[in-house]
Amino acid sequence: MKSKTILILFVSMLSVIIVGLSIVAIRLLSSNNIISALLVIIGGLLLIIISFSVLKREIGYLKEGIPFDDERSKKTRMYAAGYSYFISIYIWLTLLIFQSHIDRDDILITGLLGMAISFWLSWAILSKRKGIE
Amino acid sequence: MKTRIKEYRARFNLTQAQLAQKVGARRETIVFLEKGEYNPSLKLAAKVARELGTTIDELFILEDSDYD
Repeated sequence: MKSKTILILFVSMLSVIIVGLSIVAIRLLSSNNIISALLVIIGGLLLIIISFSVLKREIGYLKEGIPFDDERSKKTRMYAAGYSYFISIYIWLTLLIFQSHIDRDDILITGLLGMAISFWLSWAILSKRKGIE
Repeated sequence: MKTRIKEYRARFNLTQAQLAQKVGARRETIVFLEKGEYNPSLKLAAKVARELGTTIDELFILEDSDYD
């Protein structure tokens, strides 16, 4: 997939997530759930700040003709997927153990968020690590 | 593993970004390559050697510990 296409997809996905988070924050505020709304707003702002710095870097690379993906970044992503799969199994197992104490919707959201976060964390850590083969 | 990429890059007045663009890699990959902290594929090693006007043997120096 070309770098420009990936960037466009990234911006589109980010826009959808921000719109979704905004709707959630507004609904939480209207139901006087201030603390949850604040957490959603802070999460959204953090996402915007991190995404903006990533986008700035990638657009700079795009202008210099540097590809979005190369052999090392593909290997890093594969390793990250492997580690996060391993971590996700234990997240789901833990959630299942405590399923009688947690609401089913919360289990689903926590499990999916856990999978996403474990992948992004693994990717962030592995991309800085030496010795990827 | 040691590499002489930085030394050869300086001879051609190339930045890491410029070398990355020429070989179709990311700048971070060139950074790790220069430090000897990434083992490139044969294809990438050959591309880097070609861009720097030398051979793979000249650029990449395996240490004794790498043979274990």
